[in-house]
Amino acid sequence: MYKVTVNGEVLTADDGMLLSDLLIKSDKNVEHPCGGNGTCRKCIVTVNGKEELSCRYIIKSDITVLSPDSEKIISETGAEETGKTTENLCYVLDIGTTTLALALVSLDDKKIIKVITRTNPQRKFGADVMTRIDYCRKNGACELQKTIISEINSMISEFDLQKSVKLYVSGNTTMLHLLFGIDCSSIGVAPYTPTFLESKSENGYGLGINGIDTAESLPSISAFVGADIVAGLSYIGIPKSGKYNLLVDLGTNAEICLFSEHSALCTAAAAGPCFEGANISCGMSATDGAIYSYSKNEIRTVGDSPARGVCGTGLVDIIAELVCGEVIDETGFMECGAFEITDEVSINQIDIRQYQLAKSAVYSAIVTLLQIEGISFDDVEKMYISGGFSAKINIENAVKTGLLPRELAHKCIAVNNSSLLGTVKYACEKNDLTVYTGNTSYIDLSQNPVFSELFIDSMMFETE
Amino acid sequence: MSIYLEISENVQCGKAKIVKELVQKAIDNGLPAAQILNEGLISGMNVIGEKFKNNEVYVPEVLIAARAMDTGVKILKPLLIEDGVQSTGKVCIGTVQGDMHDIGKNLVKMMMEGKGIEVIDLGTDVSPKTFVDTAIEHNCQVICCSALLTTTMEVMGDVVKEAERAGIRDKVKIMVGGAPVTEEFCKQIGADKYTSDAASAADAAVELCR
Ligand code: B12
Repeated sequence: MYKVTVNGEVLTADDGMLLSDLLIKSDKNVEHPCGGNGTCRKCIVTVNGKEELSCRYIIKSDITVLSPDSEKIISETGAEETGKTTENLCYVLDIGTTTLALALVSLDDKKIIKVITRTNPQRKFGADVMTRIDYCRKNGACELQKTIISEINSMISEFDLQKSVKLYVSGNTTMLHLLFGIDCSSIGVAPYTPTFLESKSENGYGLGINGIDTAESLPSISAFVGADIVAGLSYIGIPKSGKYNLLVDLGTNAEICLFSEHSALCTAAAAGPCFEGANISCGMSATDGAIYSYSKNEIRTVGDSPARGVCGTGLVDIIAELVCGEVIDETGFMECGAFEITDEVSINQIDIRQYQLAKSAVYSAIVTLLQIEGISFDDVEKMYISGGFSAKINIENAVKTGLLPRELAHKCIAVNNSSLLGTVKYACEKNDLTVYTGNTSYIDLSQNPVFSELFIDSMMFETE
Repeated sequence: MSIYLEISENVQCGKAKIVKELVQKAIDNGLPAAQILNEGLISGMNVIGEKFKNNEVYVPEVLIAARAMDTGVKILKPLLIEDGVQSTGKVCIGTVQGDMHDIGKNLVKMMMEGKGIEVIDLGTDVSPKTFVDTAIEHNCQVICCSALLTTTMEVMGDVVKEAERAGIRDKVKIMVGGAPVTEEFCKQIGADKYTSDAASAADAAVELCR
């Protein structure tokens, strides 16, 4: 047994234990975006004065560890809060891979009374769903479930309601499996079959969630297009004009849906974690000190703190600037090798390459859906952008970098957390969700020749 | 400019049509097929490979260069066989079972072909047994496995085991790669070689085929 002092607190560890395992077990929120694979280098801590990857450090003596406390990720839900309690209430929870949002809802007013957001504590197991699935495959669903439920309980207790009410839940397919403690390993390998897609109701007591009578989850469409997207569709609604709406969820998995009164297509573009900063050298989530907006004349950081890194929206701005200023050419080549934003923060060639993959995946998936449906940009009425950073993304810059089609820029509406808002709508109105789940086809892009070709071509940048 | 250099430069900028014409012209002028291949086509692909390694060019440029090289190789193929020109080596490659990502694998394949290696492409979602059976049937010197998912990379370990089970482990080298794969992982599963990019993968394969 060794003594491990973490930020002043003394813990004990067995000989040969991985430092990351100890940090996870003792709820020290060091993040492990790549799930302990040793590839992302974001779990760096200081061990006896030396920087180490916590997922690679084997404890063989007493050590002193300094770990940066992970901070709350700024998340805007886009919800209006009334603050007015009424007789009939319910909770609505959105379980994002990154953030949790819990709303207390008045069923009488059909309005949100208050929302609280937290970082999903499962992040310590890995940033994206695949790393969580992998953890589940190796260790079972139990620990992941316990982690999320204890956070939900803590959020519910903050509302201090004196009675039990119903809880409506949405989230991606994997998050819902883990909430109910159901094995999700089969989602992780082809042919990606989830254990369940349908809506599920469970007794709160049985789940171990306090202050609720039942928990009801919304239905999902496929392994990678979950209840969060169904809720989003329900929030936006089907256009009556006979035209199409697009929903683009800009996150690691980048789900995209194209739907009209007659048909609905959806897919997941698997953009990667670059919008969350995980595979960018100076990337970080939207926490204190993250550059979230950038132009030649002005740099804005979260909390107006000194710049520590770049989050997704900042990255979009920076790359737009680099493209327009011809610091990078149309192939993405940056002659100067790296671009310094501040003394601390820079963007290098490999970061640009990561962005090229991500932006091309999203762009190509959008265009592929339009092509499969056989429609043009003109047939799209609105393009809704949802997801963690949709509120702050500069659409013009996104277009300049080739993330979103220029032809749709003026039809773009940011809807923030459409999953939460759509679930609130469902809780209040009980609208029929089978319109969204029933005849929606999932398009597998890995078998799609249109996507394959577009994906390569769209890695390029458009320069004047 | 020598015609070889001209071919090489046109491969580098992906001018498939010109490459085709130039190769035909070289053949018509009686130049040896092996030399057209090595000093023209392969030399062009080598330059692209180096640039790719240094991140100076990216996936699209490599793909169009490879396409251009291919048009040349197609014309040369019958002549090379006639002349009895040997390939540098023979490998099979595929994306492991449960995984359909193939862009990285395709780049590795093209770079290896760019080194004169004969590559059998097994596509995606390839089972350990298929890798090993192919290696036996076609006498491959190297099995190359690609994986892009945290959840499928472990299948590479199964390929190593399958090769042991089939009794070919001492005859066949196993290379692994893909974004989540690391040097450390390669050692852990008992594979022979990991590289982080396609151009280095091709260099390594040439070594292993010796
Ligand atoms: C393009 C892409 C897709 C395309 C695939 C198209 C295709 N035909 O391949 C589509 C959209 C279909 C897709 C689907 C999915 N994807 Co995807 N995808 C990507 C993306 C954006 C880029 C991958 C890529 O092509 N990179 C470019 C190539 C050139 O790089 P590379 O493969 O690493 O190869 C290089 C080296 O690794 C090396 N190398 C490669 N193979 C080998 C082999 C050997 C032997 C050697 C030595 C070297 C070597 O050489 C190459 C060149 O230098 C990444 C995210 C990202 N930004 O990286 C996600 C990503 C890989 N996908 C992911 C996921 C989860 C999926 C899905 C399972 C889920 C989903 N969201 O839909 C599906 C299912 C796919 C399937 N059926 O198997 C995840 C994996 C996460 C994880 N932790 O495991 C990623 C990281 C995105 C994310 N969510 O974070 N995807």
